[in-house]
Amino acid sequence: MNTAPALTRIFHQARREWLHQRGMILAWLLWLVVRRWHRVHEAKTTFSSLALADLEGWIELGTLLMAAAVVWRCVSADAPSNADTFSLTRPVGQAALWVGKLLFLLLGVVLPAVVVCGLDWRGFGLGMGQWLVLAGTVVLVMGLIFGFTGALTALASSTRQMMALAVLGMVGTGVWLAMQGEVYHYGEQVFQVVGQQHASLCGTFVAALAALSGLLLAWWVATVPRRRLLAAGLALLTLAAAPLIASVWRYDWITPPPLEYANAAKIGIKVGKADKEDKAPGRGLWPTLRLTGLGKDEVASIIEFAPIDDSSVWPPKGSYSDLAVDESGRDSWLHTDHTRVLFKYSPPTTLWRQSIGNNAMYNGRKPLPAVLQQLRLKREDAITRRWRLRLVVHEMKRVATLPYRQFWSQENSFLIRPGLRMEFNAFAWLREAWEMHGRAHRLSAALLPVDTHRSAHVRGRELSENFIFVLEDPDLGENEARDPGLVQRERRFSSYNDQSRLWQIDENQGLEIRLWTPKEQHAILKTKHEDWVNRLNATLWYAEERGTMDLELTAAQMAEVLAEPKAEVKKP
Amino acid sequence: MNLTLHHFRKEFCYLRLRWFAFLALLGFDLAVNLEWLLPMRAGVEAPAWLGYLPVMILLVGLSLLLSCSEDRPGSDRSFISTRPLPWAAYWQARMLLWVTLIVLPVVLQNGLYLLLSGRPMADVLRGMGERACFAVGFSAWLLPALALWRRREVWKALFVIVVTLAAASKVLDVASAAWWKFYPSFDQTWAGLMVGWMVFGGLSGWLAWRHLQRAYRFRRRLCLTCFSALVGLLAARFWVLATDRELVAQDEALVRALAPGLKVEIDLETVHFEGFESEFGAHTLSAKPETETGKPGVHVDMRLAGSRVVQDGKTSSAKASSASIIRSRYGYGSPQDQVHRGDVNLRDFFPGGTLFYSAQPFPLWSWEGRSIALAAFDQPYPSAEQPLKLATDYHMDWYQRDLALELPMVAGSRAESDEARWEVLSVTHAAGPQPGALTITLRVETRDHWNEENGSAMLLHSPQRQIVWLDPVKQTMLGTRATHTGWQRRQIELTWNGIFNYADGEATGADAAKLRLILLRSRFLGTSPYTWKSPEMQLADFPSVYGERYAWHESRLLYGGRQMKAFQERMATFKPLTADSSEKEARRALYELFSTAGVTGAVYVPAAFPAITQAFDPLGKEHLPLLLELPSSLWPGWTNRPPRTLLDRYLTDDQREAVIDRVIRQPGLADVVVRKGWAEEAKRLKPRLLSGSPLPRGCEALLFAWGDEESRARLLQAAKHDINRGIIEELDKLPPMRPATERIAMNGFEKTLPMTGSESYLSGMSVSLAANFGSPEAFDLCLRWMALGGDLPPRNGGYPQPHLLTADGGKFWEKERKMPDHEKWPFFRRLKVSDFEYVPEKRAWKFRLP
Repeated sequence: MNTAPALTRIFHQARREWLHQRGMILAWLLWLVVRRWHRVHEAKTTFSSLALADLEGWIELGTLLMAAAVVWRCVSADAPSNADTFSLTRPVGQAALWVGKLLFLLLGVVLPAVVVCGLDWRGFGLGMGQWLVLAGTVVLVMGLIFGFTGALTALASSTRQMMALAVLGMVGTGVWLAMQGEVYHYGEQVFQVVGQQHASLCGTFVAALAALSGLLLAWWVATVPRRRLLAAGLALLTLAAAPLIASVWRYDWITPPPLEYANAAKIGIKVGKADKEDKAPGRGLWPTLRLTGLGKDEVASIIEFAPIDDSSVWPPKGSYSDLAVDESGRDSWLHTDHTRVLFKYSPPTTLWRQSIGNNAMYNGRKPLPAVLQQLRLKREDAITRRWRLRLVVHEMKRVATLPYRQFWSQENSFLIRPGLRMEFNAFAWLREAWEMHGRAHRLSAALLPVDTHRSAHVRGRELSENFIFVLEDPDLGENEARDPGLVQRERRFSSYNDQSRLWQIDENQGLEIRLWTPKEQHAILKTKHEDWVNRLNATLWYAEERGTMDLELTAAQMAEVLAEPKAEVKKP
Repeated sequence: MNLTLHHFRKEFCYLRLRWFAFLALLGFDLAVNLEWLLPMRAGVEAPAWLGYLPVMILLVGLSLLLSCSEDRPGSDRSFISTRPLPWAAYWQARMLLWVTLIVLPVVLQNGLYLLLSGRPMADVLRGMGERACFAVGFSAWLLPALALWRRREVWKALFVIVVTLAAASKVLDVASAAWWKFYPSFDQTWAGLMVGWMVFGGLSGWLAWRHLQRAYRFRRRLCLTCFSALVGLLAARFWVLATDRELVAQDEALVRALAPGLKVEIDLETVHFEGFESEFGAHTLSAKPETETGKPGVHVDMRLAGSRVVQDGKTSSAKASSASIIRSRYGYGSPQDQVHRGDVNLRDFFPGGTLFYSAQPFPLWSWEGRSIALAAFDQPYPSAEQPLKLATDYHMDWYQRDLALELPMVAGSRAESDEARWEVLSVTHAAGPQPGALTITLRVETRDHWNEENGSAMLLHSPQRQIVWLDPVKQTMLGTRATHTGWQRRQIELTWNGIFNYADGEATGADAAKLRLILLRSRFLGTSPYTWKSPEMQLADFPSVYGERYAWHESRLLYGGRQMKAFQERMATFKPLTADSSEKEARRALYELFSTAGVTGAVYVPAAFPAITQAFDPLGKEHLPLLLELPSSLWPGWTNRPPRTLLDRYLTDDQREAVIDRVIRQPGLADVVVRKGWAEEAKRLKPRLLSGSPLPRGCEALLFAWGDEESRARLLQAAKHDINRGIIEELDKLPPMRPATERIAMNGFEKTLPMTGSESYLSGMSVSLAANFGSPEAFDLCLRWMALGGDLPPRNGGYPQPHLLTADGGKFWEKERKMPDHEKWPFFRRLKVSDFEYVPEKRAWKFRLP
């Protein structure tokens, strides 16, 4: 018979757990702090010796084991499956015992984890919804550890049984993972389209919720009514059902719709050679194909340009794109048009240099004959067809203008949009150049779209955010536009520091700007390195996506676009 | 012995089911390795769970060492201590169990696998020996562990030891990387690992013996075992340092025979000195040596050992850093790197006129730009301004390459050598990312013994097209079997682009059946010592690779088509310079002129030359001293166009001596001296220019102006390393020098691997120079190289452009500039050497037909 109110007994049990486990909880707190320090250090430090040790996986394993150890100690102290357990004769009651332990675990393990993780979520401009989901995912992950370890410990009557069950569980997980491995091609990375990834993510979330409920229930059944067989059945059923739910789930609530260019109706096409009298000749994609109606800071890039063949899929093989995947491992897709848009923000005679790593546009946009050649088309054939021009429009937005010295000597970070922050280290002399390393740091809940629209889809990948870093020398009237050299996830995985955990996105897309002191200036003007650093300003520009649109060109328009080259008249 | 056998039988009865399971697993592993089960077939990938099989075998094998619970001496329920069984008999029985139940089956299974794979007896024995080391190393530690730990202690002990080892391994990596630039885990060798395990096993055995005698407490045992584990870890990690990567010399007799005839030529023209304080340059004094071993296919790699420096009668010595002494496992200087040596040895494996293609983004096959350290220096550094002599010791590592395998590109074709066996499983046309691609699935069986560090590369040769593709564009591993057995099996998918079609779609006419797949192999022969002794020299005389590099970074895309307008608009915004302007204002004006002309590209537009000349005028008139101080490489543009040619307009005889004084430091002024007719007065510079140190770039103008025998000899010497070929072309205009220049051009071609696709450009220049000097072979290479222009990757070293004349004697390349790329490559594709005739007096090839 229980004489004290339920709440009193629950708090009493929680307090008792604290007295027993406080050492572990303090160690857990310390571990969380070390883990956070390591994550921040890994993300920020360039060529750190610590990175060589590749501790990431070990620390995550340590976190998992430590949380599980707390639960194991907590539950095994009053193992419900052990008939000799003292708690069976205590007047606390099994229900209060279970809730008390859970309360202790929530306060002692989950709450510190949420607080420490929450420190990293600051400064990303995330809304309340994102914060709640992020915290919820931490609770869910910890809940799964509690549920699994709690149920397992509650089912085992001794440590030996517990170890045996744990080993069996690990072997089972290994076999399951091996079977999963069958699905993928050996040695080859399998790329999923975004929609599939998101549906799979939703599936794992639903499966995890089901697993959490089932495992907590199994723990409850093993502890309160003390029906081991039923509890074991429940736990097994849950563990079997969860992967099944995850694999059959199809509904995707994460992927936002693509962004259509809002001013598409205003966009016009001008074909043929520009008329000198024309006061609005438009922006030239090629000399004989121009766009009108773009906003003043907007730049159009060609996603695809190819003829339409109603009997086959568009775009055909050989279609032209400004945004072809760069083989160098850099996610550099900006081109000269993006730099030109920035000209108006400096005096008109400013001398511009450009260092943009888009290899596909290294020599500028391919001339139209080369485009035809790539499509295996002759002009005569090309001008009898309709062509489609798929464009993505970006607007160049100033993020910040700072004295260069600030970039040179200290860390900087800029919020670009909710969930995306650009972070820069100070410049340092590395690998025989002045290098500024940094990252596009994306952090948000993976279960909620952080943006209202998805990025443009180009040749099997999402076009990622990009930037131009402009060094401005107001004294000499010279500017230098540099692409920050963000790395591609697939090709430079070592610089794409992905610290994402279950249902959280935490990615650091590495970047590096390499430059050298302008020796030419110093040799002629007799200036010093420090003068140069002090004199300059630096502006970070963001190419914000405005949307995509399709334009069609008739055969007649194409005849003007692909104007026949004039025959050279030989001089007598 | 009876007691020993008795206990052995008792344990065996207890373990027999497990042992039969172990044997069944070994049998299954054997069947899989021999491909009796789950054979490797084209398009069928190996099941991923096969990867877990070795782990399973290891765990089941280790479980055999856990004897029946009442017979564990470390157990608190140790029945064994009450039995009339002496310890010696007990341990003999345990050893017998370990050897017969674990080690022997594993070793025999490996031997059987090697025998059934058709390996020679020496390899079978070696494979069994290595397997025995594996089995002993991985399992020996468990024997004493049973005597050391009680049942309740095992998990705790295991946990603490594993955590200690993991933490120590990480700490060791971080500390070594930070202090010694050495990363022990990365350089871990199998032999080292075995040594580590054996050390741990030995120390554990000693500890168990002491424990059985003195009954140590748990904590003491735990601490001592952790200590043993740490000693084992250190032995495993640092074994590589004691054995210098254990590279086995495969033919020391050949090295001894060839070493006396080894020719090492270190031309001082190639020497660079970066200064002792420079941030740039890993080596402060470097050069590009040329070596000749006297045997085709054999080359040497030079590793710096140390130097002795003699200056002012004092001798000091310095050792090379350990980073350069230890042979790296990957990257430059590694045994695998030796196979990727794009030199004449590689070229001579194939018929003359073969073109080599590499699409690697970095120059993997090219040795362009690679140099070696000429000396090791220690503090206090010698004076760079004082003469010194060097004696530098090298380890000369000898390597031999050969074409170990060659087979036709036909499904089912096979080839075998002493260390590899290949079989083409399937051949697929046009399955790659580009049209005309070729994809094959290849079964590769290779020797896989420890220290088996022979370099290898897969080449594709088309005798029809006279091309060798040095690397596939894609290589995917589809499955691996029998690793660490001594004979490994792999299934690999390889793809090459542009085999059957050019990038523009035109058929190449290549026949798949006539393509040859080749294994290029490099073997380490041995090492010999070598000492290079320098002449007396001053370090300060040698140029820096990095120090004096200036560039104006022309913004071609931003200013294309409006270079002159942009130049004029910007220059119009600056205040004109007057006679009263200060030096600061003059410097600023000069910077604006150079910077604007350079960045806009106006400096390359003839129409802009008058504007540049006009902008230069006040500088030339009023600020000559400033202009004379400028480093030569600061001047933008072509050497024979404004602004470089403008200086001499303003110089008078008053400045003659001042200009001549500056020529060595600012060799660009040599041109001015010649143009002004001061060459005779500049002869006082002759001794310096004729000395052994490198000829300052630009000073060749003076030597040409003097035109005597000595000057010409010096020019010939410099011409060998003249990247722009300007010297050789100028020398060739002098009739007496023509045979010598021709020899230089042909020598250069003879030492060149004609390689297209990579970022290397020197190879193309050597080929085009030889073509200009009338080599039909080189000219044929040029034509075939140009035909591949559309197939080159985005970053490439370009293609050779030999001197071509149209049928009417005009300059072909001027006309060609107007030809778009998509027309250019098919045009060259249709040309043959017979379509041209060589015109020796113009060093050019002339079209026979218009």
